[in-house]
Amino acid sequence: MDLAGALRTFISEPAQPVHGGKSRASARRSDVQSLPGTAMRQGLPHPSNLREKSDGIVAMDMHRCIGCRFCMAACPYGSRSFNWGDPRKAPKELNPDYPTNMDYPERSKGVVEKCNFCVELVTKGELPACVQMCDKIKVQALTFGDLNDPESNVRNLLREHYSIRRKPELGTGPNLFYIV
Amino acid sequence: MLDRALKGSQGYWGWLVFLLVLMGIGAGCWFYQFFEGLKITGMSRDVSWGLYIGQLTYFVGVAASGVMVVLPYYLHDYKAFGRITILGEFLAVSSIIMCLLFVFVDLGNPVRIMNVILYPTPNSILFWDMIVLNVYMLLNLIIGWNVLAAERKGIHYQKWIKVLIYISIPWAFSIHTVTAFLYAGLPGRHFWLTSIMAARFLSSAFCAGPALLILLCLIVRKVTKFDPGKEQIRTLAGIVTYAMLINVFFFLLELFTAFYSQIPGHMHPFVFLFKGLEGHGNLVPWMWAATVFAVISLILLVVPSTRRNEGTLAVACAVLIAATWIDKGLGLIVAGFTPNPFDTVTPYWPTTPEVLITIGVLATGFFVLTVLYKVAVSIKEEEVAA
Repeated sequence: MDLAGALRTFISEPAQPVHGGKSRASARRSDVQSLPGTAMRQGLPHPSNLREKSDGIVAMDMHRCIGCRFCMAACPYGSRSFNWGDPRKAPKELNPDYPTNMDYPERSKGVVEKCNFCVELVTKGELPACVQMCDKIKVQALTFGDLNDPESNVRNLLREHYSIRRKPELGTGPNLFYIV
Repeated sequence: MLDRALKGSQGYWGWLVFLLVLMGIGAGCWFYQFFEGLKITGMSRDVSWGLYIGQLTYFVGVAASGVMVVLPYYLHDYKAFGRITILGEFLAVSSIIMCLLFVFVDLGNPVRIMNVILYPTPNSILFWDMIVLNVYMLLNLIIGWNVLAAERKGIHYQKWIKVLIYISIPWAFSIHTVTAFLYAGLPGRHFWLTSIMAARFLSSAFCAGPALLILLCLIVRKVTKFDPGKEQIRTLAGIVTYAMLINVFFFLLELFTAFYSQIPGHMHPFVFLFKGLEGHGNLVPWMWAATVFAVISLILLVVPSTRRNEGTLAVACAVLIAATWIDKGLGLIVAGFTPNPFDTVTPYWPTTPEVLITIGVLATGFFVLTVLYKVAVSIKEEEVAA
């Protein structure tokens, strides 16, 4: 990990995925974007936010979201976005460097989206796309791992460096750490 | 009873047709929004609610204020209000219809609206808001309709109606409290995260709603043979005065906490509203206009001679409605989202289709109000004639 070259390194929590082994459920809080205290509890008129018990990632059920955007108002991090228009319509010409992810469910207009650590990749045992991209271009700015495992890459980094979290005073327990 | 809405003067039909045209334009814009998505509005990631939710908030207040005529009549036996309780109840019904429509047009996925009931989430305030609003609308419709029907037949309404009336009184307070809880429990939004929100909402509701009712009473007196009564209007004016004073007082309390503590997060929304923040100040002229309107209305209301004069009272009510509307229907939502969690300002201003949809919903509410008032006033006129 090249910390000298990286102003910010963020590390996030969910378990290194399933790999045939048991998933690690525990009292772990979920990730930063998914605020167990706020968006989950206060934000939703219906359970369109799924909380995967296995790894703590909060995902969206985009087939159930009514698009009231209460969760966006509830999110103190500004981490949620909304499909104001049809996301399929957006790019006139597709950028070949960013191919359409055929594994990911079709998005529609009128639903809220959020970072879900690319849960569809994590389930397959891969790293989130942003982390993969960092590795690919040799900028090791992002690290992803299991906070519950004392020997994990993220726990080691946190042991060795000072880190901060956004708005810890709100009690949302974000598991996104910025190494300073 | 409803047949009375089918017989009316040319002016009555002209007004209904005018509202229907506005409803048609609004519906057309809504279909455009339905197919294109909410991107046709001025809302954005940072200001993710706008004019629609502002109107929801304002008209929940108007609906709740119906209790200001129901409560004195039924709990304090203030007989004079017996003449106008029906006007308060029917104003509540049409306001709630507007509120529900404002939520509906704000949804990104309106076809899934039944999910709120099919997959209920009691830990969400929006779920409870849906419940209290719908129940309040039904309560007022059932009560108003049955009391009016009994009045037409010259008999006393049935006993079980009285039970509903007693339920409807605390229920009115609950609808605006729950609506305030939509905002007052959200972490990270300093402007909203204040325990006085519900109290502020109720005070602004109990001045704005009765002020609208006074104007409606004056219109009813002018265009029909039914006179809601001088004493009734005078008592309403007293209620409006007290409520507006409390409303302004609560607002000043917020200013004190924000500016004496000097906590930037608490001050920024107010600075944004009244001075502009980071070069964005499109609400500044509106907020100062609201301030001037509030002062004018208070002067006209507090001075006894202008409060008792129905001409100046009407002016006071009109500027009071404008002041509270700017505060609650426009400023409250945008300032709650400003500055955003990254401490920058994303400006918001409603687009033309957004405004036309809003006008369409307002027209729908006033259409329902006109029809309900026509029925009520026709029956009152028959009483006067008999």
